[in-house]
Amino acid sequence: MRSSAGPHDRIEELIATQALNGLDEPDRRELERGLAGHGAGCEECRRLLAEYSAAAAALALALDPVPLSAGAEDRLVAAARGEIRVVPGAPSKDSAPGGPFPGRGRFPRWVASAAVAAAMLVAAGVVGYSLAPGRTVPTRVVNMAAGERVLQVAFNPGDQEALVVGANLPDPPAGKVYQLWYQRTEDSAMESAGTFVPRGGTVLAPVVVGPSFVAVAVSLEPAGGSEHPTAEPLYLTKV
Amino acid sequence: MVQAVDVRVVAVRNLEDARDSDLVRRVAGGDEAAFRLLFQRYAQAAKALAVRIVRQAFLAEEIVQEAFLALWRHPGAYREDRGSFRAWLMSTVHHRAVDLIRREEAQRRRGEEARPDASAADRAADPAEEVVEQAALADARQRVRVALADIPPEQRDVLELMYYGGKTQSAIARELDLPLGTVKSRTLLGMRRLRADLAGGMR
Repeated sequence: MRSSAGPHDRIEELIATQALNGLDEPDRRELERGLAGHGAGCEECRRLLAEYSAAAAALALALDPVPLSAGAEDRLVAAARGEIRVVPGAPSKDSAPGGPFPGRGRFPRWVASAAVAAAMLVAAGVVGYSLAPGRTVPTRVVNMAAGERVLQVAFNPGDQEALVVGANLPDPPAGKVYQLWYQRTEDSAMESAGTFVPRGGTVLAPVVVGPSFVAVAVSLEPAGGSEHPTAEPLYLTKV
Repeated sequence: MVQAVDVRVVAVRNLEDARDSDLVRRVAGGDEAAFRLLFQRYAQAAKALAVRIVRQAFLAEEIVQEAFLALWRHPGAYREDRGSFRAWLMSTVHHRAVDLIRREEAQRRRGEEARPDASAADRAADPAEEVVEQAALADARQRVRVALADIPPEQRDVLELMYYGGKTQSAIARELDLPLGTVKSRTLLGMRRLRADLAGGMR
């Protein structure tokens, strides 16, 4: 037993109780402030969190296992197959280090409105996806492809963070990536919104556009993207 | 005085955790077989926890499915440097289960309609699959039960009310008619003991 108070005594008590989900709201807030105060790099905090989380999990593992209903695993996999997955950081390997796009690597949090979501989902042929709530809803969707291929840009006029949604897209040739461009006015040059690489044909990628634009385009560019299009657009759509 | 540490136990646990982390990495790459393996390994333990808290097999199973789907959608939600996969999974399931019963309790207090009794539906549900379990988990369960038996009963009672009962510290203090400070110290002492037992693999 410790006889003198250390900087982690109070936070240890809060962490241990939080691991059991037993904190009342004011204490939970105190824990949040405490962790934030110590910072993400606090090794002692990290250790306490991991070890108390393991201790709580042990309480779970002490119970006799309970079988799932018949077919539960297959149902889970069927549900999973229908989802667009969000893999953090993807396709960030295609960005230049310290890349110029402010949204890069941080997935925008959207609540898709029913109409937009329906359009995306039906067109992409997927059953469902979930995005964390918190940002404004994308109210406009630009369809860039037709037929089996899906390529859309979902955005909110005035907002610069937008989303590229794609399905059934071919992989770019080795060493190349898709790059999205936008044109602010009819006379302006194409500006880069970001690069993306489909996985298994699908893509759900954050991009950065201007507050308003009259056209979007996609071309194949060398990995890392280009400052200006170096190839003819594969897709070009007036907004 | 040197404490005897069961190195073999610690090594096995680390190996299990390393295997799980590898499976999660594969899940992040869209590997369905890895996803199934994780489910096979942990779904029954996860459901046991959920059932203990929400008391309804159907709801418990939904909670487990949702936790695994959450992993599939956002594999980055589990981070290796924050602990083992099994701890993350149980924490996720626990959180959702406790949320559910607290919301229902709040509704009950507001006099709102209770959830229709689903126990009849549960009984009519598909016959359950056999309990198929890996030796490693069965071993872990044994060790944990021994460790729990080591914890003084007044501390263990608080831990169980909190974890299995989904109650907050203040709710436990009211229920047991104890000062809040007593509940807090019993929680911390009990958890410290459990944490020490597990970290050392001591027997």
